[in-house]
Amino acid sequence: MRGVPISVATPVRPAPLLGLDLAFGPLHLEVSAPESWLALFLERYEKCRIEPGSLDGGSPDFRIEIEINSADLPSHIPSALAVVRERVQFRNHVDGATLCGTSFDAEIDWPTRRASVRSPTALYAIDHLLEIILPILWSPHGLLLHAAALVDADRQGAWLASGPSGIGKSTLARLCGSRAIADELVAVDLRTDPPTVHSMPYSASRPQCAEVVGIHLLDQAPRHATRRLDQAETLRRLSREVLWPEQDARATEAVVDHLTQLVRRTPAWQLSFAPQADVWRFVSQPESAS
Amino acid sequence: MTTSQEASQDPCTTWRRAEHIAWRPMGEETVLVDLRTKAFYGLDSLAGHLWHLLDGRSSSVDLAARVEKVAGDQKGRAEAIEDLLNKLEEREIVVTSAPTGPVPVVPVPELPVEACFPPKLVWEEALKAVAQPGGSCGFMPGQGDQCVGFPFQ
Repeated sequence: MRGVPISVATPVRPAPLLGLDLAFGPLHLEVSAPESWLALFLERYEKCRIEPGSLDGGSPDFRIEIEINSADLPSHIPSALAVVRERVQFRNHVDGATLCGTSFDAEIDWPTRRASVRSPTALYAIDHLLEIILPILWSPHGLLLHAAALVDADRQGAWLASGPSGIGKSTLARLCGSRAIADELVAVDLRTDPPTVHSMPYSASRPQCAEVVGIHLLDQAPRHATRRLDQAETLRRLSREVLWPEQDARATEAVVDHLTQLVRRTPAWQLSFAPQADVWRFVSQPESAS
Repeated sequence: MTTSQEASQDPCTTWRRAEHIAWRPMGEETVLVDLRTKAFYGLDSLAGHLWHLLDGRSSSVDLAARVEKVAGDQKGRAEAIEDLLNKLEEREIVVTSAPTGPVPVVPVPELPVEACFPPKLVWEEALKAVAQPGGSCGFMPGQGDQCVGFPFQ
């Protein structure tokens, strides 16, 4: 696992909080934190940064405030990177939730759409928080999907290419070159017809959205081939790739609805492919390539 | 006192859908989702039809009578339905206990013409969180370069 080396010996000094506007696909967040924390945070999240005042409607979907409670990592955490491996307990309570790791804690308040995080200088506590809040925040509108998105100019839309890690999403995105707008995570908006896909700023991506043309569930093979999938198989396989808002039953049920809508409204194929440059014909014309 | 297993072997036991299960029709199948565990289940068309009848008032014998049209006079109809219900009970999808509140009345779809006997649980999918190791590396905390990836050329 890769990580950003972090100094843990800096003494804590009260520092003014600075604000930062971030876009995670269609979701807009505001993070307030000491400048030193933000500088390290932006080493990983620079791509999410948007200009202050550029939020639609003027206010973010969620606000996060970071408080550094210690410069040092707890003695049982050997390195900053180890923070990411610690177990995090999640507890729902009325109108909110609490996250507790051994090195950090966070309070989520849903009515005000705010969270406060208290952690050592280590950065990764916010990753745990994002993993929880992004699927919940997006659940009224759609779902987050483990998929690449490939723009098809001829069809004026984009193909979703989904499947488990290691199946070839990034490989396919590289083979599709400038057509790829995301190779890892996307947000699908079910309020539009057809549904709309937004790239999410993880792994390789660029901010863009497009109407969903179709879905490919990926498989590796020595030769390219496509096979039309029925709705039940599509739902079964796609359900494994959804980022479920698992801490929230109401949000989970909403995502079940979005998933079934996506499957009903979007044709799907199994795309078996070899890492060869001519794969785009099979991506963009699965009917004739079958 | 009657145990759950004893109750489920009694042909007069009545069954209902567990409260933590959501379901949606999908093609010929009915897909169930356990909202606690995020496990998915697929019922074939006949089992999906029976699912809508599990209102806490029907026993396997009652259910067998409702599907006579597709099952014909096949012997052991109630037993086959009981087998399905026991499988669902093992997975905590259906229960025999009294409901804590009113059981929602749901419209019962027409018995599908393609339905064939016996009713089956055709697949199940235990989901793991995508953000866990082996899942999406994008959402895995601590991925150092998650936002500075290569631009697509």
